[in-house]
Amino acid sequence: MSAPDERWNPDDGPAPTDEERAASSRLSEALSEPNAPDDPALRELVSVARRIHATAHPNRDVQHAATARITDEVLATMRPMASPVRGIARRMWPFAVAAAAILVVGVSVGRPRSVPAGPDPSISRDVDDVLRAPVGVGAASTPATRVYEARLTAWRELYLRGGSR
Amino acid sequence: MVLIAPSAEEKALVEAAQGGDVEAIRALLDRVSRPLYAAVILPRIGIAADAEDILRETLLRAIDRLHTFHWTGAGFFPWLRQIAIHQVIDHVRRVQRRTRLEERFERHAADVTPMHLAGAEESLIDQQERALSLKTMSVAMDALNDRYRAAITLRLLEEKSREACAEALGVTLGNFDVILHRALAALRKAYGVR
Repeated sequence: MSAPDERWNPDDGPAPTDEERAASSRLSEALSEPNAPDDPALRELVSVARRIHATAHPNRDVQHAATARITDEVLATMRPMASPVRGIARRMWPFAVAAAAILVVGVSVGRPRSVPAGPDPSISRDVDDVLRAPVGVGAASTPATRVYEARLTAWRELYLRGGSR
Repeated sequence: MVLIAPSAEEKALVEAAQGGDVEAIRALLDRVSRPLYAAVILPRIGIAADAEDILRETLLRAIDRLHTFHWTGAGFFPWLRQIAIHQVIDHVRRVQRRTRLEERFERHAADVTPMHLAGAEESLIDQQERALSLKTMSVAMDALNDRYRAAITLRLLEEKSREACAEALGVTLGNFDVILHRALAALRKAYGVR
C-alpha cells in the first residue's frame, strides 16, 4: 500500500488556504455530530450532505417514530377545534339558531298580556286592618322610623281604648 | 367480509375528515405522513429537525385547509405533497440566498408531481418518491468532476470512514476533508429543491 500523498493534487483544484482547511475540518466534525451546526454556511453544506444520505439510506424506524410523534402532536393541537362534536355542531348550528328564534318568538307572543292598571284602590279601607297590622321587624333601624313607630303604637292604643285622648 | 377499493376507502376517509372526524383525519395522516417526511421532505431538506418542523407545518396547514380539498381521483397524497413542497421552498428561501431564477425553476419543478393513484399503498408512494429523489441526486452528482463525485460517493453513499475515503483517493485525511468540502459546495449549486 502506498503512503498518501502529502502534497496537494492540482487535479483537485487550487491549493487550499489555511482558512479553507479550517472550514473543511469544521465541516468534517459537523458531519459526525447528530445535531446540525448553527453557522448558516456550515449548516447549508451539512444539509446537502444529509440530503444525499437520507436519499440513499432511509432509516425507516427513525422516520416512522418521528412521523408518528408529529402526527400525534398535530392531532392533539387540533382535537379541541375539530372534534366530532364540533363537526356535528357545525352541521346543526342553523337548526339551533332557528330553534332559538322560534323559542324567543313563542315566549314573546304566548305570554299573557298584562292587565291594564285600573284606578288606584280607595284609601277608605277598613282602618282596623291597617292599624292592627304588626309593626315589621327591622323597620326600626333608623331614628325617624322609631319616632314614627312610637307614634303609631301610641295612636293605635288610644284608638283601641275608645278613641279619646 | 366486504372488500372496499382502496380509492373508495380513501375517499370515504377524506369525507369523514372534512366532517371533523378526528379518527378519520388520523387514519389519513397515518397513511401518508411517513412517505411525505421520508421521501419528499427529508431528501429536500437534509436536517431532520428542520424536516420535522416542515412536516408539522404541512399537516397543520392541510388540516386547516381540508375543506378546500376536492376529490379528483388522484387521491389525498398529491394534494398534501404540494403543500409540503411549497413549505420546503419557503424554508429554503428563508435560510439560503437563492436567485429569483433558481426559485422560479424550483417552484416550476415542484409542480411536476409523480403519478400517484388514490389509495396507493404507503410503500408504493415511498418507492415512486424515492425514485424521483434518486434521479434528482444522480443528475446533480453527474455535474461534478470525478474526484468530487468519488469523495461524496465513498463518504455519504457507501458510508466509508474518512480514513478509508482518504486512502481510496490517495490523499491525506486533511486533504480529503478539503475535497469533500469543495464537493459539497459544488453539489449545493446543482442540487436545488426539486
